[in-house]
Amino acid sequence: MSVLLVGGLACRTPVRLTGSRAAELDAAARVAWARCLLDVGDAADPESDAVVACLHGPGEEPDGASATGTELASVLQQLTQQVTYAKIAAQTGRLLMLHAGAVAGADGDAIAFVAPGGTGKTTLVRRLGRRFGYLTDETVAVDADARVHPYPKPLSLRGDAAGPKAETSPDDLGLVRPPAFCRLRRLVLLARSDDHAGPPRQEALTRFEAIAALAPETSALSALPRPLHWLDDLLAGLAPVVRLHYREVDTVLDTVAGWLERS
Amino acid sequence: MSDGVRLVPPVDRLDFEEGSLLLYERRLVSLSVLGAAVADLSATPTTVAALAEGLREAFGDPADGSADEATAAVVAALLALGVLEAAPTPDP
Repeated sequence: MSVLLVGGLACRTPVRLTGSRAAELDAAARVAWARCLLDVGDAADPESDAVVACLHGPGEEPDGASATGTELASVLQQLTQQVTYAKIAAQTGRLLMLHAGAVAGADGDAIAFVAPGGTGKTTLVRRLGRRFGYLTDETVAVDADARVHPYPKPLSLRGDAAGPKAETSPDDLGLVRPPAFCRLRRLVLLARSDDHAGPPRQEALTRFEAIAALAPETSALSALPRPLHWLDDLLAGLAPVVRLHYREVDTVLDTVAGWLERS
Repeated sequence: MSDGVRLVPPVDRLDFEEGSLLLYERRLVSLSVLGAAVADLSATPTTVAALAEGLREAFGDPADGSADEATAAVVAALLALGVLEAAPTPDP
């Protein structure tokens, strides 16, 4: 068995790797999670519950692991989910956590792209991350001062449609490292659709509409103190929220780059 | 005791010109101004008739139909959303 300490989302998550193929799993996890690995005692962040992942052979009994199996890619995909769950649980009631990807400019000004899973966050962030700092592709954690706590997890990329997603290190994708301190400047709701025709369209939202749209795309919102007021106060300091309607990611890159470069 | 309703207290609430947002443990409910008024009037157990009277005072008579029928429809919708719950009220 080996133990990794995985940072991100302002907390440390111990990951225990077990099973007869633990060494193989350890090597792959160290590559995929390279941006999040911490040396023990390196960080002052709180610690989440541990995650146990088991890569084993046929007929072998997994030992209570929450991520388990005989296929490396599948275990790595489960591991990503379990680490994210553990971190969200650890930060419940402390940070606003949005279902969003995010990138930051060189000055630390960040944009978060809010959308349900499977609707374009990773694709957009992967493209933008070659030019702007990659913060996360899944969960954006923001404190009351709008500071973004990075979670540079591996990106889950769809390869073979029938198989598990490939957990891919942001280093292997050439994604830029963000500045040490990033502050949220803009929230964008993504509305990617195959039915969208024409150029991308920005739909301005009132504060009422923005909060109504954002609240369902959060984790544990109700555990924050005065949660709607927290969100309202955050939005008061940001650029107005827009919903971005588009079909192809290439068509929105210049718009987003313009936001980051003007901020 | 009579059939009545009362507001299920939300975790948090924000009011806007367009309406109100009520956050419960695992869901957010958007209310129109009319729905928000019903929520305001239901902080303590009340009846549909009392709510109808309160809405009539605040907004006047509805353009179509009776205030009682309109209020009953709003109350039914808010019960379905879990914003209101059944609560017995003292007989007048």
